[in-house]
Amino acid sequence: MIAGSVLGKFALLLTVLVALVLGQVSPIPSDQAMALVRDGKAADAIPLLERLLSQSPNDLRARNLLGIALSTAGKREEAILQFQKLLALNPQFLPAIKNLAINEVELGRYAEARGHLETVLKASPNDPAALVAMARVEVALGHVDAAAARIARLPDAAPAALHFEAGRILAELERYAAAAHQFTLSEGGAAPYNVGFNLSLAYLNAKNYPAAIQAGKNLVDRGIVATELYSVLAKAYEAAGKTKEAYESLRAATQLDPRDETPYLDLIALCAEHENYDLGLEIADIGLRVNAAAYRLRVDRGIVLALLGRMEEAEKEFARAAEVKPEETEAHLARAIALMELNRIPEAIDLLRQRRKLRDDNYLVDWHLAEALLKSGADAEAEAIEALHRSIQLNPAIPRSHFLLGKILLQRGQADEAILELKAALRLEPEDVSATYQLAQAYRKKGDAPRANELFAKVSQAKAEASEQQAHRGGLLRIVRNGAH
Amino acid sequence: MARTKLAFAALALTLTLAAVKAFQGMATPGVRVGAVKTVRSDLPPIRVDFRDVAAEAGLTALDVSGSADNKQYILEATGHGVTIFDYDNDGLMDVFLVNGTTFDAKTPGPPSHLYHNKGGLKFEDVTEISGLAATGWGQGACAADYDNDGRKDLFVTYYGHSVLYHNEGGGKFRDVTKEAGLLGAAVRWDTGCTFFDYDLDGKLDLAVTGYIDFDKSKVPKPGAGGFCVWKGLPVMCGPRGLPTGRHYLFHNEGNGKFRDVSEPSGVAKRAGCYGFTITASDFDGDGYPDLYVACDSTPSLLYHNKKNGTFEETGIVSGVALNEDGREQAGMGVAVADYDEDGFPDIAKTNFSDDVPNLYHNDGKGNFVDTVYTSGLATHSQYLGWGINFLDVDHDGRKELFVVNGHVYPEVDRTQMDTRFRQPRLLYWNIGGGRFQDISNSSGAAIGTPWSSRGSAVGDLDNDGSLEIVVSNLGARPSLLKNFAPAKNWLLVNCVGTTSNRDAIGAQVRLYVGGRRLSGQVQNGASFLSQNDPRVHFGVGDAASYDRIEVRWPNGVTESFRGGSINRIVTVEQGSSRM
Repeated sequence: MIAGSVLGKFALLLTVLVALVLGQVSPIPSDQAMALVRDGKAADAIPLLERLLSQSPNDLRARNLLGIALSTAGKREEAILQFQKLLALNPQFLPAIKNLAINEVELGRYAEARGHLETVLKASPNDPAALVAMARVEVALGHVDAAAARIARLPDAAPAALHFEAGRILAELERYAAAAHQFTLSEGGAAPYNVGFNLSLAYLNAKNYPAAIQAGKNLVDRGIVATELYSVLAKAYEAAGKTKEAYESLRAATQLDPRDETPYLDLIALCAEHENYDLGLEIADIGLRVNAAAYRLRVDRGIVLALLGRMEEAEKEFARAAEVKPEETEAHLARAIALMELNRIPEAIDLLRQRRKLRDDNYLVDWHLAEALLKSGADAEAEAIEALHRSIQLNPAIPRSHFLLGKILLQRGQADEAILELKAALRLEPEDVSATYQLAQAYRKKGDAPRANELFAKVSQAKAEASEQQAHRGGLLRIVRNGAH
Repeated sequence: MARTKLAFAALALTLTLAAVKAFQGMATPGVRVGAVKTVRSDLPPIRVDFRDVAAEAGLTALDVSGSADNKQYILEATGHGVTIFDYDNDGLMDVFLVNGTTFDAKTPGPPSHLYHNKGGLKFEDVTEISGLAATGWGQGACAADYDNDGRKDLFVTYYGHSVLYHNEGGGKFRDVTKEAGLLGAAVRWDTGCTFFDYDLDGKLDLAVTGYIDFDKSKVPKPGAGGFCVWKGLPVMCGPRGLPTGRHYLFHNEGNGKFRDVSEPSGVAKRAGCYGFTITASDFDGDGYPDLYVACDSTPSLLYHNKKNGTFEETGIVSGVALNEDGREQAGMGVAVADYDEDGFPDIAKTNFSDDVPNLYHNDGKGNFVDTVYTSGLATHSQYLGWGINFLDVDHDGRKELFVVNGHVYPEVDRTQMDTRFRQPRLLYWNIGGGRFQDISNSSGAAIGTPWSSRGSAVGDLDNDGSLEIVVSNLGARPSLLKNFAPAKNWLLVNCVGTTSNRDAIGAQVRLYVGGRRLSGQVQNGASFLSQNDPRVHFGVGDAASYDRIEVRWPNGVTESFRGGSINRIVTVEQGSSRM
């Protein structure tokens, strides 16, 4: 959900809670140990606290601090043991219950965590840390609305880090407007880039494009930029109909690290969206001049050439990309498609068979191999069906594979088997017109006219609606070149 | 003329902004269309040698269709049809070539051209003296004897006002559009037309398709709108994004007048089709002619004749509206014939480039399955197809398939794209079993030479038993393809109706020869906005005679005519059989 690169930058909830708990524990058992934990030197604090506890095993505060130190050091099982020992001595010691629950959340022991968090929230219904931790538990247990309800109770005055985490949880639940609210409340805390980036991304996904742009621009104005931020900004600008700004944003991203291919890829994508393939090609050339070994950029250059109707050049470009990273499947796959388009079917089949031999974990290879085999002649139909079965096994969630298999089976007169596959395709994509159409034909072949006609009517309806939508479609914007490169 | 789906749909989805990637799943494979299954025959190869003899024959009129290389509007790119008919009843098929004009012409522009066949494959331009010298944005034409007076009349479709010419005899035509009740009040872009007798009353009715509700002042400039870019190239806009045209049906009242029955018949009800070629045939064998319309960028239409003066559109249910993936294509031209000798009329249709044609096989009940991939007709997806004709080139009794091609965007010649504005023709040899073999490369220079062709019509212009092909080429002279290779025996059947319409349009002809039953029918509109020789041509192989001819006349009466010798033209008149 939130961009992967950002995920790792967030402070762990536990770390946040350590600080909170520290604030609640008094009097401190040892100034030295406390200072070490505060400074993140848990490894040094642990032997100190263990010595202290060997002398005073019933020192609740020292044991709580040891649990926190162990948690901070990633020794969660040991930490849990300490909190359990502490609670054996004093079952009502809320900080320990909360710390225990937080460790349980981290270890995925949601049922136990839930029980402990309920105890905490009963005693302190608006405890921010407990609310956020409980929200995580609810998410894990699939109680989406309950999770959102917990976060809704989070006081505005809660620590920024907790609002940030709450924002992440809501974004995960695709409740982007609410997530943006939490990210806004987390402003002023640590890691302003992370807050600003997530805020912009949440607004973007909430389709509040002006706010997304503003949040992104705030970071840019402060000089806190990264390639991914420019990507988000570009997307927001594009969605807001400001193509030129989107283009400029991505151009700025290329200045950050000219060898980074990502902004070039985004620029090419923008050009592709506007069917300005010539400019896309030019951008690919610029990027490749800076970094000739940019694999992804070379693949995209090939795609642009293909979109330009220059299939022979595209095929060569994919071959070059495959030389850059022979282990990657994408370039080989693209080359196979180009070969098929060039009617060089046997070469495509050879290539796809080779790829399959090297790596048998890509459903697209099997899918395209099936297609190439079908193009090659009737003798290969059995192998094509086998390839499609493999493709489906590798990724059963692709409706197109089920559709293609259903179509072949229907052509072979295996209407019952075809119906099963076509139904599978429609389960995955209920509005898929191709599968609906084929399924209608399968039913007709079986003599089930009522079901066939019902499905044909659905196809007719879909076509009529598509025609209506087309009639109302507006014109596309063109990218305005403005001193590009 | 849709921009068809791109081959790299699956991979192109990776061309999305990084921010989007973070929230999206893996790209679903897209649908691609490509060449498939090259079919090879074990039969001994046939000899075919088509050469272009248009210049020697005198077919030299230049086609005009807007600007030659800077087309601003789609009207400049769709080109024109060819009509083969015998206007002067001299037994030789004449040729009518529809023509267009330009937007910036200070003069009215060139007329369409009527070429009189003088015999021996020599033609003379009789446009002026025939009264057919009108100018304008002509599209297609269909010829038939609508008043059963023994002379073939002519209907010419236009962007503007289509025209009905009555054949007055003596080689003269007269514009009777208004008095016939066919003059529309508004400017329309009519394209295809076909005469047919939908109510079997013996009088030919008229169906006309509309392409776009075109208003030049409202069409964006090339590259300006959403549908004005093709593979990144700014091009003229349309048809997508522009309003569709309307289809018409006119009932022949029998007194030289037609009545617009488009609404009550149901033909006008079905909107959402950029209509090109229309043709009539009894697809479901119920005795009444149905209508098929090739639609550009929209689902094609099959109007099923309900025998009560109304039609029901059943294209999708019948399986002839879409390709096998349930996707609409950019339909241009249509050919109807029984290519696999099962007795039922099948449909072949040309489409835009990056796509393959359709070969809709008829199960005899009006249900079709697209067999283009298994038939071997999908060997080329790089060409943009227009005219399409079934014809028996080698006279073995099986009909080959001929396709003319040509791009709509002259701009492609100024790019590094793999496609070109002028494209070669294709010839597929029918090797039996419903399969075809591409023999384009070995069928003579006239097949391989590239043109930007549009309409095509087939006929025996020199009455020697082998069929010639006339092709309309955008912005160029026409082509006249004659096959110089030897062919086997043949029979040409000329049907004359009496209680049915005189042209016997809709008659189904079966030739029994050497234990085989060959099928044909008298058709009107065909190919791309064109019309073939109305006589039914049969190749009969090495047979020295035929057993009988069976005709099911348009009014449903079936009649048998006794057999005889081959290699001749046989005229069969309704009610004259002496079996």
